Amino acid sequence: MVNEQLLTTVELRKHYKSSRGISPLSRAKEKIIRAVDGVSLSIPYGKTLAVVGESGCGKTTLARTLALLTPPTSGEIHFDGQRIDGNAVRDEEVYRKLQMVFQDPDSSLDPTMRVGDIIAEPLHGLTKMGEEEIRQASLQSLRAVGLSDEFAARFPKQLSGGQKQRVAIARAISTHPKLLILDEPTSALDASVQAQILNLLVELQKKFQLSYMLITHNIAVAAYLSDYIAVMYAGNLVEYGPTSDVLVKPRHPYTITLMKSAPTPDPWNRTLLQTEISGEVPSAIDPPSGCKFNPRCPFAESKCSAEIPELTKITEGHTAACHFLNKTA
Amino acid sequence: MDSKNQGEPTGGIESRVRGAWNLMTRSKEAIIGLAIILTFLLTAIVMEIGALLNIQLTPYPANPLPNQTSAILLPPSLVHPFGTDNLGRDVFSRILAATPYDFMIGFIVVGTAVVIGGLLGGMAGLRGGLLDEFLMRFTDIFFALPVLLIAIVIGAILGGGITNMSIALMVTWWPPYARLARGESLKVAHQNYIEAARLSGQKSHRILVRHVLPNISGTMLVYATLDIGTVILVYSGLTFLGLGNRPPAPDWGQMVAAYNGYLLTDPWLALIPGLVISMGVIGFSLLGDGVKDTLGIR
Amino acid sequence: MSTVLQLTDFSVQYRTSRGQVRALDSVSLNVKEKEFIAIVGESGCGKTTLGLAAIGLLPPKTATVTGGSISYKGVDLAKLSPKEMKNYRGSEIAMIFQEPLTSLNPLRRIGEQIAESIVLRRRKTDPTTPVKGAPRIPGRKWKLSPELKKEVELMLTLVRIPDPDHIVDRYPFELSGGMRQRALIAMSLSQQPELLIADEPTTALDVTTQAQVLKLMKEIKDKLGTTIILVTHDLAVASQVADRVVVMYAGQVVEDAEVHEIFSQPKHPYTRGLLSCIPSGTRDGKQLTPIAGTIPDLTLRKDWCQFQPRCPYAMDVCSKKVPRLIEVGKDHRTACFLYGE
Repeated sequence: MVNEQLLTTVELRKHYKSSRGISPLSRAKEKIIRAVDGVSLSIPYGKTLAVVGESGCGKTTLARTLALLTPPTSGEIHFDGQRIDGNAVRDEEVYRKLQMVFQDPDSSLDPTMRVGDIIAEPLHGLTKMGEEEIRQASLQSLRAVGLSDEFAARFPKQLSGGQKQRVAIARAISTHPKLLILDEPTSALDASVQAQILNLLVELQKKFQLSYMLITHNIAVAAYLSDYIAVMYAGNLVEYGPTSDVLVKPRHPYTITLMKSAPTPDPWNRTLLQTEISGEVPSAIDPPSGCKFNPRCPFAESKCSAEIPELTKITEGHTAACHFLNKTA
Repeated sequence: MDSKNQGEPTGGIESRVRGAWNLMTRSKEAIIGLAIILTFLLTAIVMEIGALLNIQLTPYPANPLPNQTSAILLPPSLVHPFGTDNLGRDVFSRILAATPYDFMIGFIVVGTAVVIGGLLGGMAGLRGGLLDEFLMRFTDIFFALPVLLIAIVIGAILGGGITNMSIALMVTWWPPYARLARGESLKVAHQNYIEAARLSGQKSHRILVRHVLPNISGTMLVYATLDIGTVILVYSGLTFLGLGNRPPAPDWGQMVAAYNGYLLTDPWLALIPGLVISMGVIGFSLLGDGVKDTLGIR
Repeated sequence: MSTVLQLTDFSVQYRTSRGQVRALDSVSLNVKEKEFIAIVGESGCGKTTLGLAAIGLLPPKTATVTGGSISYKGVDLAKLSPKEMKNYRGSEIAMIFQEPLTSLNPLRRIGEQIAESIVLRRRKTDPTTPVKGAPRIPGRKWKLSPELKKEVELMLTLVRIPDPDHIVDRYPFELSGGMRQRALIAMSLSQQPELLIADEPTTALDVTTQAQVLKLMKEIKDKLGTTIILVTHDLAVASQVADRVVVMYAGQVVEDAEVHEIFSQPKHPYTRGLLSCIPSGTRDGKQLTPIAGTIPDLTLRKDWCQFQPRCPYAMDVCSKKVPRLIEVGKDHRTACFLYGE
């Protein structure tokens, strides 16, 4: 099973300590922030997994942990046949095949560097290619994202938001990776520019057989780009399955609310006005006992605060973590 | 969408230099300050070239042999613009000759401070954690050293002279720059392009030099420019105390000390070097105030 | 139904370092009583400027009204003095912004801020009767009288904030984004305005929170009869709550229609372009059709259609004349030569 998937995580956890002190006094008062609390998912070769959720759900932390920007607290990460969460595999070996595109196009490009150099940076750091080879490869990357060669000499300040994001993508694909982690790649862009970038991402996926892990709060974008959706809430996966299933027939009470709340351009079907949800996202330090969603769940019963639900199979490939899936059938 | 016109900022070195120039020439104060500084700078460069090539570029020798002197204690005149001192040396020439040391020491000390502070503080902000704590406590130790005292101690142990004093100043001058660099570096460290650099396989030291330093250099250089005047003042103080350039080498602060005794009879002797020092410092103060006004900082 | 806000050939320019920018260019539209209208457009279309003009908050040093009028119940707001505008701002016309943190005073408890609004209203409608429990010097910290406190809690309940009796004593930073936005709505509503302008009020909020806040706004319109202008870049959001949608591009109104009309019979090529680039549902091999080109430079004066360079249906006349708003259906206007001149 592990071998068919490009990326697999097993019970991945990322906990933060709430204090930064070294003294024993501050250590004693420390609390643990459970940003990612036991996530198991997988991404097949050449497919897109969207991880959706709202603020505090842990999706960004998950992305950064998978990108090895921060070490996991526990759990396993298997990537392209190797286990990468320990120290056995060096980061550089992984990064040639795993890259990331960040949310904010303004902060993901160094304002003091030219576009050509920005795109070439991974080639300099991760390969042993010569100068001329690198130059050609960067230009190829630039063209692949739809920008002409003259952009290589420009600085980020001279580019529009959409162009900056293209440069960020060009940088990420310059080493021909197998997996791209996209953290809200279009959230900062206008509708029309977003459409251009989404089209580009689809095209690049086909052309280079890329897998994508798309982190987003925008359900519409997730639905459009992904083959599979994983819904996160307060550090855990609450639902997981093929996009068409999760979108059309969500079974976890949270997913149902989430899908209904997502605005669709359909004035005849105002699902948004029919949703109802109370309360707030729980604190990551002191989560509710049992199922973390139970205080806000309309179907909650006593079992829900006593026992944490496991991911239960609904159909082949579609699972949800709820004790009472029969209530949402 | 196409590239904007040439006048717009691009982010490259050229545009940043142009931006800095604009910043410095926007206010009247800054322009005056800049003019003063450039005059000193030019003098220093010219004098240094002359010294290196062993050509005398001053109207009279700054360190004349007994047979090259003029009449003693002449007041300022057309022939001797600043008069002559108690040994018949032309004060104007001595002032000029001292410029490479007394003016440039500001640049040398601050330059070193920027490099040391920038590297230490930049790395601290970038890496954080224990390294940050360690570097900052190390900085604190040096922060606690009083400049004058250290200079005097070094002067006592190693003797005076410009080299030793420069060392004394360099050792104590860098801590504020480390603090500043750390603060700026913290802001930069959270930017996504730093993370992208890590994902590109770059190690911390490369990230520091390639990404952090260029992006914090703006603030550092503004601070540094304003600081140079202070160094000039402090160094003059040290030479006044007898720690700097030894006679008969010309040195502004040392001249003030030496000519102190003639204050009542031939006041120009002590006052003029003092005024020259003040002008040097004022130049930087004006530039600094002008730049601060342009930036809108109170 | 009477017209609450009417813009007639309204134009506003901003002075910027690049020159005069035409933020609004001969904008005409009517907002009727109790209507929920969404002004939709991408960045630079002028929608925020429109909102600011309606509440008299255009930056005085850089913005100039260069033509037309913006009338609230017959009174041209652009011609009012700042003092006169104050009579309308808050009590008749209220506005909420995207980031509630900057609209709420971080040093005052929520209860006090809402009470202040209530007191202002009371003072205006009944200047002679002193309000019990309110300090004579505005802005001083005060302990609310039980009567005032009850009113504040009522407002908080109206906006569906849970535990209002506790929230009254909280500071803004102690609340979540959604709660702050609700508190802000409560503050605006406590003066019982006729017109509420909301500039991207939910853009910074989570999906589920956004849904709740939008629901609340619809409730306010339905129950209190408040006219609402929602400024947003998100056409999908507009479709879910608005009665009417006004699409703006480069400072001009390009289409103005009832919400179902816009989605079933979009007339203007820009509207059509916007609709075809919104992802909806799974991909299934479809492609999004982005709008070619980029937003035009608003500093140049153009005597032709602003959208023409990007328009797939452009004709000869489009590069020669400026299209005016014309009726193309029942209560449906668009500015495009495809439908006449």
